[in-house]
Amino acid sequence: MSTISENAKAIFLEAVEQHAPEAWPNFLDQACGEDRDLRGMVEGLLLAHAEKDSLFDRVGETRDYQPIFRAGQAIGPYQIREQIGDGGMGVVYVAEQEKPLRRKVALKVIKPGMDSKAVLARFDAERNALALMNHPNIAKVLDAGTTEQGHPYFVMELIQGKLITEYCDQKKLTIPERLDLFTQICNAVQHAHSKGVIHRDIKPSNILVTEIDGKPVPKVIDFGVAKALGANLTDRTIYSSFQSLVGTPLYMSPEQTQLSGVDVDTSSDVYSLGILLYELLTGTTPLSPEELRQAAQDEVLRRIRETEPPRPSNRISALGETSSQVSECRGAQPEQLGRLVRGDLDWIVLKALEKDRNRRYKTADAFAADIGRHLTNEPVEARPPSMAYRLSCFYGRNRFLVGTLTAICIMATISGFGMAMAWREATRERDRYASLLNDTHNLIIDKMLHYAFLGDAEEVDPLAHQARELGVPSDLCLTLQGAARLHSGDNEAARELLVTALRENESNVAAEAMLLIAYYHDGDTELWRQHVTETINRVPRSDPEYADLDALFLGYAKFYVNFRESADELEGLLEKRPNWLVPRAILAAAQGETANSHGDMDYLHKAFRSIEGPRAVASENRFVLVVQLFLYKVALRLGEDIDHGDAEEVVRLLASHEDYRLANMMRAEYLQFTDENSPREREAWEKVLNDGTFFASYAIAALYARKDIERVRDASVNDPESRIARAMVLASLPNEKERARRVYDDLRETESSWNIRYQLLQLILLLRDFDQARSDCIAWLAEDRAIIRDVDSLFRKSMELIAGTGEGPSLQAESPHEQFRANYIRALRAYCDRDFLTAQSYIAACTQIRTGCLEMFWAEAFEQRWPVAASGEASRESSAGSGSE
Amino acid sequence: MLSIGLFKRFPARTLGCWNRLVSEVIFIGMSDVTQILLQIEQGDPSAAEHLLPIVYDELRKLAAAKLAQEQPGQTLQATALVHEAYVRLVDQSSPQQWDGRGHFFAAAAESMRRILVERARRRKAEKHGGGMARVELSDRDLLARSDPEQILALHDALDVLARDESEAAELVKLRIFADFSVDDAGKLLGMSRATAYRHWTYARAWLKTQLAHDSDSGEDEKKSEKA
Repeated sequence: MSTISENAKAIFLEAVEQHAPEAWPNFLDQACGEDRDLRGMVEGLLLAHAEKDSLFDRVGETRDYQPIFRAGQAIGPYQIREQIGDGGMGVVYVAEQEKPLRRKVALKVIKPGMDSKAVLARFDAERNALALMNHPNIAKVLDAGTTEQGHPYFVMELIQGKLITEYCDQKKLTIPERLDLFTQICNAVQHAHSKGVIHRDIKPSNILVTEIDGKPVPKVIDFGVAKALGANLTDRTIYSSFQSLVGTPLYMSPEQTQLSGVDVDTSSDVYSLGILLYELLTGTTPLSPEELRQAAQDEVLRRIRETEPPRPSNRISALGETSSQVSECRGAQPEQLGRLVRGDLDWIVLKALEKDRNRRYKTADAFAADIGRHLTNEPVEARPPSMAYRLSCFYGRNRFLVGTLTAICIMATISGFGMAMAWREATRERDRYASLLNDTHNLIIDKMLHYAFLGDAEEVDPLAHQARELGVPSDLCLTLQGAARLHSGDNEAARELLVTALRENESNVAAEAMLLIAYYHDGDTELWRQHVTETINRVPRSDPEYADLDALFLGYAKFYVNFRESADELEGLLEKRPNWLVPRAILAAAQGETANSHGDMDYLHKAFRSIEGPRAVASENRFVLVVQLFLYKVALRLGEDIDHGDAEEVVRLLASHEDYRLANMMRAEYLQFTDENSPREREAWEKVLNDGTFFASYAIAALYARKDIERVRDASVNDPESRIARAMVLASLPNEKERARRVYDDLRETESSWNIRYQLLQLILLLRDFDQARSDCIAWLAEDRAIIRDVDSLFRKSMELIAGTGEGPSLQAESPHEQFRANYIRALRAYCDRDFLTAQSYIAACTQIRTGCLEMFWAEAFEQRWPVAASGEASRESSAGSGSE
Repeated sequence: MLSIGLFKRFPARTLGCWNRLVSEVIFIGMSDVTQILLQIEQGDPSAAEHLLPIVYDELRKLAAAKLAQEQPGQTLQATALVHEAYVRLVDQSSPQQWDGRGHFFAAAAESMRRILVERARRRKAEKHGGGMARVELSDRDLLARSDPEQILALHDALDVLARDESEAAELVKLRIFADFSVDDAGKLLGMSRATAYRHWTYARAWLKTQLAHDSDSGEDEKKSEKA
């Protein structure tokens, strides 16, 4: 196998250079004859040739040889002048034609790997139709042929212009100006369709804009080329490593991705026009080039066929960093652009992008006409069906919800409620829900709330639009739109919407509470501290339309301050509002946290019941799954038996949310119980470490406890918690104390929260600088910062112990948390004094308590590491011969 | 220290004629790469022999220095490294032809190959021994992308390829180990574009079949071990 066969090489190269992949089998039949070994060798090479490979290939590089022609060379009757482009399909030149008339043309030489005869035959078949086209916005394909080496080429009208996307951005064309250009393109495509020519490959690189008398004129090029190159684009992509040969599937219609080669008709062009408009509006395609690069080919094709494109306006609001640039290119402010596109244009684009081609615009003309209606403020055809129709859809869908509700109650019965109670409850709830159906406002608000807690802004936004039309106050809609974004992780957009809501109505308690939560999620602890006391002491407004919503968000905001209060308030509220199913996930989390910190099994059981509702209606929602996993973790910690099968299923479902950092953290913590010290657990922690949130501090402690010092020593972390955590590890290493000390000196200047200072205190004690620790504690206590959370008071007591002004947290306290912190701070103080025996006995007490806080991770690590440290120091001291005590 | 043994495997066509007897011994200062390149250009094949150790030493030093300075996770690209070595070693004031640069970069690619192979061997050893130094070239670097076994297999397959297709093997080295594009690698070796792509198309496919073959037989071995 390893001997190189000249013969195989020659046949392989001929196949690649002169035959299309479809034709390979026939070619091999003829070239290899009966020689099985030879054929096997060539097939192996061809297979290897066709596959992408990370070792050999670079992103964006074309693999195949592309002949380059120099000025003066002749191709057929054409003289090459200069190269003007290097596109996906081939290289484009300016060439000169002598006969029948002297003119300059564009000549495109197609890359190798084509069956030239078939290409020309297909082109000839369409020649007549192409000749009939005559439209100012179409650049005609004039001729086709093959070069001496046998590569096909196409000759077309020479257009000196820019790609439409580049032109629009450079000239900063506004949305109406872009729509005007786009309408002209639609007209051109319509003209071609009327002559029986389908383009099949409409994309920005096939639409050039030239200026005539200072007016931009778009020209569609390459009509007839895609068809000539192959009826079925997909075959080609399989061979061509995607972007090289046919260009990109980004603009392909779902039917074009079918391997079976469903006949492609004019509506495929309408679809591609839809993608083009999408890009002109938002600056990106529904499936972005980045996503395309990352996904496997099958996955890309599947997504084109199945995934609904995000609304253009949502895409704009999700642009993030690039949004100001995209808006500027469209002569608008970032927030303005979303508003310009929201509504009509959303609907128009989505109609063109319907997966079912019968639901798209029937013609390119109809597409253009609808845009014309939008520009003249007439109602567009693409508008969603009437309000009455929409509402009837709600009822239809809510029948399902009512059914689910019953199902949940049955499940509740199984898990412990009395049967009769549950049935009565179920009936009563169903009745109540039925009566709610009559209240349009409540219905639409509930629905928005449902999706807001699921983080589904794409569902909430159109509902909010309708809700406003139905008279629901705009600030309320904004609050829920903001909540949706917060839950999908788009904190910036969330804060913007919530601030707007408060500007519209400053007594909107729900928005205020939600904003507070946003600060917390954002890690903006200073803002959070400034507002927390005032906000969580607000009372819900008396207006029934708002009262429960206010209470819900207040209870939610309290979650970050006091779990038990939050749990109790939410429990009372959600009993009243049984149809608010997804918010029960927050209740479950609060109950679980209460169980976790107080060891209270009642709360744990309640939590498991609370999460059932959300699991039933949103079984794949990432937050719901995270709460479920959290509950399993707490149950394990408290020594309860759990449903391991379901827990593994939850872990499995969460695996598809790789970028959800909370999920990664929860998974690592869960595996700590089920798979401690396994590679799986270690890997989970590694992931947390790489996620770059303050969770990394947990990962550092966990990996340190597993003696993985090398991994954490130089971990790249930026947030203060994780920097301190890394420094705590460094403090234990002989040559790294200075680095650790620098972290302390840096952060004591800048950080002022209880939490971080408490961690700094641990660090300086580990560095054994008691004087510094004491003087800093005295200074910090003198600031008299407000105590907000229960745990803050434990931090304060710990600092008092070190400052010498208080007894510290009590060793006899009832709360396990206080007990833990009492032992922990005393352990560190003893370590600082080099009193290893005392230190170890306090740490041993800590690890019995298992609170789940960060310090528990450290206690476990210290329990492992300190005996080593002690013996190390002892041996160093004895070998140095110093008789220190 | 660079062992002489390495030279034995250095393909004959790389920098002239390695197998020819050294007829004269020239003293060359460490930075005198320019002089060597001039001598090669003037048709003195023995000069080439001195090029590789200098380039290799410089690249090793550069790589080690880069890794020491930079934060873990930052990228260290073969192209950047090789070009930096070029700027440092070759006198920029004297005019250089593509030809002279070709010799230099061929030596650089060979050096990078060795550095990467050494690292792959070490990494493989670490995998078994528990792993101490966590120094890695990253991201666009081959080692981060591929497992050490694959690098070593590629290394061996390249030697086999070089026996019958030495030009193709040279091109592959420049392309893979020094990160040149196929176009540029072809220019450095004085090939036409068409030739460069032909070599690349064939060598790429052939090496891939070899690597696939290797890993298959590796698995077979494991299976038979279990049995």
